[in-house]
Amino acid sequence: MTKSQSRSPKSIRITEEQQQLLDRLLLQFPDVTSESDLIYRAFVEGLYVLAARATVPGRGVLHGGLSTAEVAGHVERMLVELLPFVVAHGTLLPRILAQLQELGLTGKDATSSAALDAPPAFEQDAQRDADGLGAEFL
Amino acid sequence: MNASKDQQSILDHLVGAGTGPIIFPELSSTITIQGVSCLAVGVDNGNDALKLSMLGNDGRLFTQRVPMAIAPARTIQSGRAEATSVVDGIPLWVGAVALRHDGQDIPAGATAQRVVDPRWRQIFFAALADLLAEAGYVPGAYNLVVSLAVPNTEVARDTRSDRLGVVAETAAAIRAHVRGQVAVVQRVDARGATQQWTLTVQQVLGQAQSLGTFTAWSKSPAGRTVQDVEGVLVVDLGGGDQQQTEITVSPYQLLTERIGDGTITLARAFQRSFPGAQLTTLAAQQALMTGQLMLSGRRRDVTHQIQQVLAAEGQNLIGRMLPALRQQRLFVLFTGGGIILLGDLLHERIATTSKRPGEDYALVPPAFASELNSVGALFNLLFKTR
Repeated sequence: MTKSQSRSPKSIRITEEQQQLLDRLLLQFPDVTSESDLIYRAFVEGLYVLAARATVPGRGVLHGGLSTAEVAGHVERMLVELLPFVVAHGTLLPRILAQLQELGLTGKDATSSAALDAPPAFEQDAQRDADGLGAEFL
Repeated sequence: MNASKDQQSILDHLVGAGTGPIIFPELSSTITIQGVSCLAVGVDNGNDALKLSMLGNDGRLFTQRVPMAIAPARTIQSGRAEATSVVDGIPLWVGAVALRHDGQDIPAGATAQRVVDPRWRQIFFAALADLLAEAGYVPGAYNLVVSLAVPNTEVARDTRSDRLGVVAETAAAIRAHVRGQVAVVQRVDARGATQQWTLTVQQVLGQAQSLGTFTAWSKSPAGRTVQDVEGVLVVDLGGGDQQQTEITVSPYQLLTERIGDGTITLARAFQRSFPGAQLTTLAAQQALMTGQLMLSGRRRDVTHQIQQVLAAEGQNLIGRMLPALRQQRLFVLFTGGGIILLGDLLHERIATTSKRPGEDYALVPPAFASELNSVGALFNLLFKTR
């Protein structure tokens, strides 16, 4: 989306609850170096969602002028990554999948979160050894 | 090789696939980092070639070796066109295509010197787009996390943190010229079909080159340690350098010694076999790998000249590896693209020692010797992000 990594400062107002949520989320993403970086990540992901929704003819360019392939690529990857969570904890999607299953349109118990491949768990030793031998994010 | 499947190393999986596709079921290159969905790519930034690895969505491993050569793309008036990469709007031929058209070499050197060269960036992004296309990803915009293998000498213990890591100069260059970089790459294949890729390097995992081979040899695809060896001497015969690196895991230590020039010495000797041809060292390296050379408009079989070079210069390279075989303390692992050329000679020399294959030493099969560092680097990244 961006051709340059230079960023302009923009200010927004957030609520106390949103600030607390940010603080808690920051702990979940150790690779994110700062609160502003976390906000930036949320902003980038959110922009692609908005671009996917920007489909009204006559109100400027569709999809914010981005190519449909670019928008679809980003949104699709977000969706695929979040599907196991939504299937396990959502309300609407499990019902839709159950209906599809009743209609014979799915091959296995698609309402089970196990039906969607969870990321494999790796042995922690492997990460520890790579860290110990100098592999580091730069 | 006969171990149960979960006791097989990553390298065992590669060898076990034979000539068929190499598939790691349940794995893919899709990872999440900094909350963003990305694709993981292993890259070994060799002096003679970039070696790249990634997994397709079905877990199939794809690797590429891209010679570090580049040339401006020209219009071919008739006949078969060449695959062209348009990087940031500049039409280019890279890798083997560039070598066919008198492309320039990128000078060998430290990572910090190479990544600042705009031609390095062009080859890097063109190679990434080629890899994604080969791995079956649809053209579009992708965030990438690159697991970048740098020369072993560029990883050292930081005195303040007492931890091994990429040295400051290399790290600073990668942060300035690789991490965060965005490129638009159009791939125009030989039939004129065009694909466009927008690639963003979201993050870079730096590491020593030999760590990739060590990981591929010692870990299963699930990250389990499958070797009972605590200390390994990795002897890496690369294009630019010949290095040996002692790796121990308890305590974590990495001691590197450069023991001489790599297969570039063979390339220089090969150049001297064709004094009028004005071969670049990279073109000579490529001829050594392929056994063919274009001269006076004819593709010539140069196997005979290669054998002469190996007989004269190859023994010098082998001779520098012998001290590694004489020591008894560490398991010895021979790797690097030079194994493709010198594997047979090395086998002959090892056979004259008391070393036992599998027990005292292992030789990475030539089919994987060039790309194994990048495969291991890819897995080091996967291990860290799931």
